[in-house]
This record gives sequence, C-alpha cells and structure tokens, in this order.
Amino acid sequence: MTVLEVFATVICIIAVCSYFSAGVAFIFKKQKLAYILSAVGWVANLGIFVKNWYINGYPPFASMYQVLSDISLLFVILMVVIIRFRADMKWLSPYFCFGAMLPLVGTLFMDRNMHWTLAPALRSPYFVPHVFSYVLSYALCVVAFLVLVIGYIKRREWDIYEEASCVILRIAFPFMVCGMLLGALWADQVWGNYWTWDIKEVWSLITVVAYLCYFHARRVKKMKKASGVFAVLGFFALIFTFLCVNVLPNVAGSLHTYT
Amino acid sequence: MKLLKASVWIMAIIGVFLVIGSLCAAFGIWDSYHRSIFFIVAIVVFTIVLIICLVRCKFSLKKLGFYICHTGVLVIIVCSIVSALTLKETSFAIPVDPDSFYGEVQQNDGAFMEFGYYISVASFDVEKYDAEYCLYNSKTDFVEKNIVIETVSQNRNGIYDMGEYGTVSAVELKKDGEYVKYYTLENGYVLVKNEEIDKNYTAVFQIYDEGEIKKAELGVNKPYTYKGWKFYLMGYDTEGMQYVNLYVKNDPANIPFAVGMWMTIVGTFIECFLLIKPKGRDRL
Repeated sequence: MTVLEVFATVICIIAVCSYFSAGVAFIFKKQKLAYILSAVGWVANLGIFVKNWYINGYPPFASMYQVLSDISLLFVILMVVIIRFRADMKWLSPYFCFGAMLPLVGTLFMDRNMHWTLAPALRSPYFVPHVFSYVLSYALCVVAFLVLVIGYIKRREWDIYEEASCVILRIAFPFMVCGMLLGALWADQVWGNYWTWDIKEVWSLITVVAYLCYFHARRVKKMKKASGVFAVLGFFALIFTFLCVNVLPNVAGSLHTYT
Repeated sequence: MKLLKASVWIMAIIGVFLVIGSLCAAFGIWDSYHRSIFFIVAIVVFTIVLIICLVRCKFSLKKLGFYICHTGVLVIIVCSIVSALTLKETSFAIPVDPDSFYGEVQQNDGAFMEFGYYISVASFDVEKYDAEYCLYNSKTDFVEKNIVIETVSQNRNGIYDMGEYGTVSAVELKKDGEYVKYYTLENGYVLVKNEEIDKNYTAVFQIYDEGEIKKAELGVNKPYTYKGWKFYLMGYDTEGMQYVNLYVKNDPANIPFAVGMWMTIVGTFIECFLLIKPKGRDRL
C-alpha cells in the first residue's frame, strides 16, 4: 500500500465516522455538534475529491469509485441548500448525513483505482455536466427513498414524510432528465447517434419513466396513495442502472462498459 | 384527470415493456424489442395522450414549464420518426493520404453513397498515456505464472512509486524516447509494460469542393459537418496507422432533435422547481 492509498483510506474512514456521528447528533437534537461533525466529514470527503482530481489530472467523475465519492460530497451541500430554502424540512438533516455515509462505506470495500485512464470518448465538455447531474439526482433520490421508507414504517406522520420525499424528488428529477439527455447529446457527438438502445441508456430511461409515473399518479386522487410504489420502483431502477447493469450477460458490447 | 390516469398507465406499460425487453436483450433472447409492434403501438398511444394533454391545457404562464417540456418530448418523438425514415448513414475506412480524394463510399449493402464533393484524410495523430507497468516478483513469475503483484502508474512527479518495492523514475524507464518493455529493479523485481492506452486521436480532414480544399480537424468528440453530411472519427488502424475509420450520416432531424432535448431539460426544470414553495418552521 502506498502512502497515498493509506491517506485515502484514513480520510475516507474519518468522513464516514463524522457523517454517522453527525446523523446521530441530529437525531438527539444536538444541532451545533451535528453541524460541526457534518463539516468535518465534508472536508475529509473534499480531501478525497481533491486527491482523485490531483492524481488523475481530470475532474474525478469517471470510475465507480470516483463517482461514489462525489455522491457523498453532495449530500451536505444539498442539506444546507434545502434547509435554507425550506426551513420546515430541517428534520431531514439526519437522512442527508446517513445518506452521505453510505456511498463512502461502499468505496471502502472496492478497488479504489488510484489512477484511472480516461478513454478518448470521455474527453468531452459533456463529461462533467452529464455525470454531475446524475450524481446530484442520485444523492437526492437516496434521501427521498430513505424518507419514504421511514415514513412508511412510522405511519403516523406519513403525509409529512410523503410530502418531503416528493419535494426532494422534484429537485432530483430535472437533474436526472438533464443527465440522461446531456448523455444523449454527447452520444451524438461521439458515436453519431443520440440513442442506441444500449442497456445503460434503456435503464436510465426506465428510471425516468418510473419517476414520471410517480409524479403523474400523485396528481390523480385515486392513485395518490399508490404513487409511492412508483417512487420505490424508480429507486430500485436507479440502483439497477447504477450498479447492476454492468454485470448482466451480453453487456460486453455496451457503449458504457468503462463506467 | 382521465388523461393523467391514461398517461400513468401508458407510461407504466412502456416502463414494464422496457424492463422485460432490455433483460431479454441482455440474455440474448430478444435483441430488437424496441422495434416490436407492441412497443411502437405503445409509443403511438403515448404520443396521442401527450398531444391531447397539450391541446386541452389552457395556456397560462404558470404552465410554461409544462408546455416546454411536453412539447420537447413531442419534438423528440417526431424527430426520431423523421430520422428513422430519412437517415442516410454508413461506416467506412479511408487511407491516410492527402492526395487520395473520394466522392462516394460503398455501403454494407453494396450501394454507393455520394456526398456531392470529395473527401480525404491528410494526416492522423495518436496521443498515448504514459505507460503503465505490472510489477512481478521475478521474470519467471511473469513468463510462467503471470502473478502480478500490482499495476503501477506514473505519478505527477514522473515517478513510478511501488511503495515497499521501491521507486523508479520515468526517465529511467525510457530508451530513445520510448518506454522499455521490461525493467529489472535493483532488488530483483521486474516491471513489464502494459499495452499503451490511447489518450486521444485526431485526423486532419480535407474536403475538395467547388475548386478549393477546405481543412478541418476530426476528433473523437469532434465531428465535422459539411453540406448536411456529418463525419465522425470512430477508430484507426492500430497496426500501421495506414487508414482511419469514419462514420458519416445525413440526418435532417439531427438539429431539431437536439432542440427537443434542450426544451425537455429546460421545461422540466421550470416545471419541477416552480412547484416547490419556500416554507418556514420545522415540521417534525
């Protein structure tokens, strides 16, 4: 293990522990401590981001390890922005902290390819906005899903949880659409087609369709109660798109195999 | 309300179909699911519902986002139909030679495709990444057992850092400007070069039209459009760099398609963000 790898592991563990402690502190209403811990976690997380950028020499949005680290980095920022805009949703803070912790825990158990060579196709102005939009939307969808599940378990305050989840998804969804369509515009620049029915493309469309069903069903009186099912299905589709599509058979011909 | 309900149903059907179809394709059972009559009918129904929604919705500024994103989706669907009906495309290899001009290329079906002018590739250049090496215990480990200790890349200071196994500078690994295939460290460990990876590649593309030659750079993310034909650099002859692979298309719906996508993006942002209203006081 090189010094840099040890350093990366240590700051990752610091970030994970800080996010977890911040989440716990928020639950026990220790606001000041919680904010400090969130800030510590975020700074450590930022260290991972800077380290990835420095080593590779390009914005670190290419490998799974890099993207998972980026997702974590966004939770605290989103928490601050959402709370600033919607003070009535301050109670969501622990969800953002635990949400930030999850991807980083994932990175601890995976090959942290310190150096990742960027394929020529990825050298495009669309690269950062495409991945960033997805990363941002995925981070929010994780929180929305956690809120929905906890709301379902608690039952009593279901309406509040359901509304909060919907607000978060409303912020997430345009970024998801933006990520998908910027990807299509990029595909036309690099491969000559906006859409090639590549498995990753199709599953990103399935995710968008599931969330579209959720938003539309929520506006139909008779469907409102069941609309949460679409949100849950959308989240499962999202996880499948992000993590599982690449392990399917016959995927070798996919244009997204380097992601 | 009935339209909303219908839209949910049709989108859910499309979603389920895509799940089944994509999984079938992944397992090699059904590759052309998106060309099936069922899917086409579902898209037609979806389009009809979309048009009725747009027509029935009374205009107001509050619904600006709704209008823009739904119209954007409609534009995308129409463009994909136009594209499917009118697209001319082919892939071909062309020699790297500034003096060889071609006015037509042969398609897969044997027919010739004419551009209305002549094209050639004047030169071609590949940029490679710094070499990556695999670290082995000994040459025997490499030749007979292929047991790799680790893969080593050059850091920003031009050093290959192998931690406890030592370091070696890029300068030491180069001979006549090229990275050496094998390198034995002082402690007996062996570095073996991996195949070099492309960082980028570009070609100088020439067009001879109306008595004059125009030059343009073609790159991986840099297609070039001339008189309706869009040229893409897709690959090259990795052995001798004697030719490059190009893809060319003539698609009248190409630009409107992009407009539809931008409309959908902008409309979705307006629609979703307008519905979130600021509120005070924590609710839980």
